[in-house]
Amino acid sequence: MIAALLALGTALAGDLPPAVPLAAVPLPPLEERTLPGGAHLWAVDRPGPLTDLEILWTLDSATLDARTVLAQRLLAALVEGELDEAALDELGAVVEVGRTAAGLRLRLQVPADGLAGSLSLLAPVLAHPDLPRPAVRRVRRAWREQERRAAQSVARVAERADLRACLPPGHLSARLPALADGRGLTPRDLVAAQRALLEEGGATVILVGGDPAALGGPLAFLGAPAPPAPQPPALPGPRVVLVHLPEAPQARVMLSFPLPGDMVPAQADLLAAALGGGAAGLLDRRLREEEGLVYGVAVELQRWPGGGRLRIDTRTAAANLPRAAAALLASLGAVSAEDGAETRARATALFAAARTLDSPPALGGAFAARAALGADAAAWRRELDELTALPAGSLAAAASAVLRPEAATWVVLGDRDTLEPLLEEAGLPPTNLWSAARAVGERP
Amino acid sequence: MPTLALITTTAVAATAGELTLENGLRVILREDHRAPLVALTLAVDAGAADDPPGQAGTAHLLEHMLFEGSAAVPGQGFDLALAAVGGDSNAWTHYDLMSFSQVLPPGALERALFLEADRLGRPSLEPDAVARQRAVVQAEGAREHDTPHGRDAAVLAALLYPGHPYARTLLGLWGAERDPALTILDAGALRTFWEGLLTPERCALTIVGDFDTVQAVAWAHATVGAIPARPPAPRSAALAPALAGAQRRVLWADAGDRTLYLAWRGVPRGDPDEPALALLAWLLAGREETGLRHRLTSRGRARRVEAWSDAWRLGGGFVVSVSAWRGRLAPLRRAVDREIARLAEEGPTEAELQQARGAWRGTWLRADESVERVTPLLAQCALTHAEADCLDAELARYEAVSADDVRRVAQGLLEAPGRVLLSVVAPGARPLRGSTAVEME
Repeated sequence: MIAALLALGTALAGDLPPAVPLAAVPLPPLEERTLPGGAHLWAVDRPGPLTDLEILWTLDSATLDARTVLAQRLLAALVEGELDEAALDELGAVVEVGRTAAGLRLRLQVPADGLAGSLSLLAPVLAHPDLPRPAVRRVRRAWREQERRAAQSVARVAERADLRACLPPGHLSARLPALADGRGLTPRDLVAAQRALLEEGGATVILVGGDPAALGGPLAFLGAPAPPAPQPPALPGPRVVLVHLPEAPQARVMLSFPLPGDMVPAQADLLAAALGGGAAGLLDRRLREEEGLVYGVAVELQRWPGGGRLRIDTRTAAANLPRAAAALLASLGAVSAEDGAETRARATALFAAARTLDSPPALGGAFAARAALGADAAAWRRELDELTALPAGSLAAAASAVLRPEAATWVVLGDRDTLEPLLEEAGLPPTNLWSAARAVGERP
Repeated sequence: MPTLALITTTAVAATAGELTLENGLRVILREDHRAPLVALTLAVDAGAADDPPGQAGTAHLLEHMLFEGSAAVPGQGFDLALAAVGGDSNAWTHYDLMSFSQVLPPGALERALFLEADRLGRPSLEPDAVARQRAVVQAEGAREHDTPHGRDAAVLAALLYPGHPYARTLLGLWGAERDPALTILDAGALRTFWEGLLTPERCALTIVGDFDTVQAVAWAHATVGAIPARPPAPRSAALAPALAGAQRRVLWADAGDRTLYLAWRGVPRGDPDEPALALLAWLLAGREETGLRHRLTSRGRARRVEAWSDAWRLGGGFVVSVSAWRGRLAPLRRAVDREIARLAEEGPTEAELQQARGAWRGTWLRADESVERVTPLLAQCALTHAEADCLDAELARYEAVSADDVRRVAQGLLEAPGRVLLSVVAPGARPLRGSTAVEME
């Protein structure tokens, strides 16, 4: 029966056709300008009816403090509370606000013919922030409520445990848990912080696919961007932090390695592509396809001014933890040993860059990631050139520089009684035992 | 040989064409040379609702297995062959649709088509690989189970469509441990499903991006066009009997908040009321300032308000969900009902309709401007509608919705013979009064 069914398809002839990987990524033309107030503008030429506008406020050491986090919340509240959302909807525009590794980010996605109209709504709100007290109180109340319940959210516990275990207390991202209740900050402090950022802080503006002439007037209030404040490197290992989540059926396993300060971005990209480049990434193939231990393995590079880390994140049934840890360690030890591993990683890293040319938001996001780190407009081009010029053996070199067992920080979440002996069995005895409350930074 | 029909030409040098190959497989092409990539989606008009009785999870497990080897590309060769040029792939399964996507550099399109044809026409379905993928699906289900509110959608579908194929779980898992369907699935069950439902005439292949149409058509003929046609198995067309009364149920789950779902049967895809229901959902909770969401969140009565309308082959669902940190759920239910009643009586204003239309246009454009995002949408268009590039027509349907249409569908919800009121609360918290427990184990 099966043979007969297989015979159905014999009309497909030949072997796997050859394929040609990308030789280079043709970044679109970019023009640098200075807006009237001093803000830097990177105008990226991309034909089409959609525009992406990014405003990145980089923060120097004077403003890079606890208020940054609150200012982001307030910026979001400002956008939500003061912007004429109905008018933006009519224009088909979407505004998002977020935090970067070194500041704040605002993104506007809008049909090109609605750019000027959207800016006429957005710019006055940013230039003259006038956040009503009730809105400030609402932000504080909502945040406190969220923080009060953080220990009940598995996702938040995981996020905070990872930050606390891997980053030093002075790191901007690690400060988030320390601000859990915002108790020491008054509404006046918050408004002052927000004004300091928006009125006095400088920015880099990235425009993809729109008319740069439309920006000069509305965004004239933006000053020149400050160099982003360097932040400390990730904490060195080895550490194994076990966070107790009673009766959790799965173990969440996060593994973090600091990136050496002198490693070129292209080399880290190569390593991340080898480990986690889609379904053919080494870790997915070993742990999922060959062993059936996990649904997926995420590999992420995080960068900030002055440092970065490589982070691996997966989940497995508690009973499978020793096997999953062993498979993970074995894979990390052999990342460059597999036939064709470096070739695949190069192709994956290069094509990943090409995929960001797919749409204005993807393209704007790629430039914004560099601007947030204080890089210049040509940084991405240089990174791609470095990637194509990396000598043979670069994957092995990157692996040996980054994937050092003594540098690893493991954060494992799950039921302590179940997981502690399993971690011992895996040769990873916990060095720290945390409760969920400890992980999210609750005060005793 | 079938001829290529040119269907549109747009301002950004994209052209689109479609053809139906001799074996019945439809191919939709749209050139776009703005970025050096090609995206490809094979959509199959089959899904979990076609799982045989007692074999829930078949379609989804088969989706996993189509990455696990085929006659010319054994083992993990599919992903490795793509990765050699930096490409990537993914897939998903829903009640009525399976979707397989690839994204690759332009120089790999012929290879991608060969890979797609080989796994669609000659999948290996090795028993050892089936066993491994069952374990992977177990891990997928456990992840869903561990995620706050991760089971809610499956429970809602089961309550809205009792006894119907939509009541089956997509993964063949129900609860953390119980998996009677998944464990009995073997290579034979998968092959039977594949033989009857993954036939060329049930498939639409979309290719979008930086390629040459004439060359791509030739490759399509030589690859997916070479899969022999075979008769498709009949599919269930059973409509579910109407729901009677308000089904008050509670799912005991500590998701950190307390959530109430108000759910009604919706309409099947392509139904004339599909756009009006989607617009009603947007008017209820589409953005911060829209009626219900603003009323509940600005005063702190709710932390989140959402509304959506799903349209599937044999039916759909219209759902409003309200989450709060604390307090009773009954006032939230009354607030939702009042707002729907208001819209049924007054309808939206012309200004609200303009805002909704603008928001739809923006959403459409953001999808249309991304090769990776638009490719699966075009494939679904081809399966759902007569025309291959239906996005403009779909947008026109949404833009034509009138205030009366919204009033009428809101009135329809008020007059519906039954609905589901599902409370999701931690053990010990109070659900809506009179709710009976959903059994998950």
